[in-house]
Amino acid sequence: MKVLIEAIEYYLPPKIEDAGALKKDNPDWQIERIEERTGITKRHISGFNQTAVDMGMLAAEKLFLSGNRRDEIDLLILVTQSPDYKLPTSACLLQNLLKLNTACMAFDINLGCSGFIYALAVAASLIETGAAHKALVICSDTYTKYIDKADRTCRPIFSDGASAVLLKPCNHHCLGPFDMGTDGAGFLNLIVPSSGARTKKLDKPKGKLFMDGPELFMFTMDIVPKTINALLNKAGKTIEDIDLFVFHQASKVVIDNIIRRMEIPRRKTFINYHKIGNTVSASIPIVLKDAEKKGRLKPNDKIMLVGFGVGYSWGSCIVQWRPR
Amino acid sequence: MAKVAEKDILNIIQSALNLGNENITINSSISNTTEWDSLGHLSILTALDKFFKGKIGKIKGLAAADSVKKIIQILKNNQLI
Repeated sequence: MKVLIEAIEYYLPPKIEDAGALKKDNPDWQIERIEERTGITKRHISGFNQTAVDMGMLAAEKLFLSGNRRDEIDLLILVTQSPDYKLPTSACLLQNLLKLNTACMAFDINLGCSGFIYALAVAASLIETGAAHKALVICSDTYTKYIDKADRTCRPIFSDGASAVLLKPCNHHCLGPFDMGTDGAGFLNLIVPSSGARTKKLDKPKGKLFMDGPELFMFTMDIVPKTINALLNKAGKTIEDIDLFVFHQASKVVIDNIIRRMEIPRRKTFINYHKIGNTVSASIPIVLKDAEKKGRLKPNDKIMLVGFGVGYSWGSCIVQWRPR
Repeated sequence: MAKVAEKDILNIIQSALNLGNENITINSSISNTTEWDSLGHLSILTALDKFFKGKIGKIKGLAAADSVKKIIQILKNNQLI
């Protein structure tokens, strides 16, 4: 697809939670053991009244501060599972807050860890059809607001944050192919029960995030290698042809096992979960931005993005960086 | 791959949980074994995935198999031992 990732910015709330905070609330936790497995030593926590829309706005304003024009945007996609309201659509609120043109399309995509990939596919498709000319894709979540202080599975992992990505048409095929999929049979393994119209009671704390770590792990071990191989086949490429693999920053144990299973050289990966945590759909664009800042991305680099998780949902795509 | 025996699985779990002097037996489970908690269980699944060279990813029920007996039975059901 002749669509370019033009710019990326992100916002992380300033409040940081580290081992000390976890230990204070849960003195029986073996924090060192947890950090050894998750690899995550810091998580960002949104303010009490700070929502995903607020964070998304701050990420987008960074894009505008660096010279990108808000009046050119005619498509806004907000990827979030932490909407301000059940209705109206949070993207509509964001359109107003960002003072985007009222001719701008705006809608939410309710996906988590695969969400950025899906949003790229949708935005790029609308650009290629001519329905849109400049897209703003914002990924933003406040999962920590759903997490119980004593939840040893979720609290050490999830972090709040937002990314903002600008997409525009270009003369090269620099996005795609894509491979995406769904297995709703796994819906119970990462869920906030009793949070919507379904009133049937589940044997899980109401309104609190529940994650079955081992089931999610087995899902990633099954699906992620398959989507990587499927995408490489679609693209007619091998692992050697890919310059950088950017995985959803689920945790150390997940990413290490994917890298091991696929025999991906470490030098072809970039991670930042250790200092940022798992920011759900924003994790992939945040890694891209950090990799760019660290000089890990060169023009024409082939980057594979792989997102996977809640739903179950997964998606992968290949991006050619700054084609020349 | 050479035929896998039940004792191989016990060794894998023992090593994954880094138990030192505490021995894993056929009766070991998440409820009676030090270090076998949710994190330990991930270590066991990782070790099994490495040992079986990626064949366990699609095995239903393995994630919830919280005892040696259950793990062995599931692996037998899937012709891995």
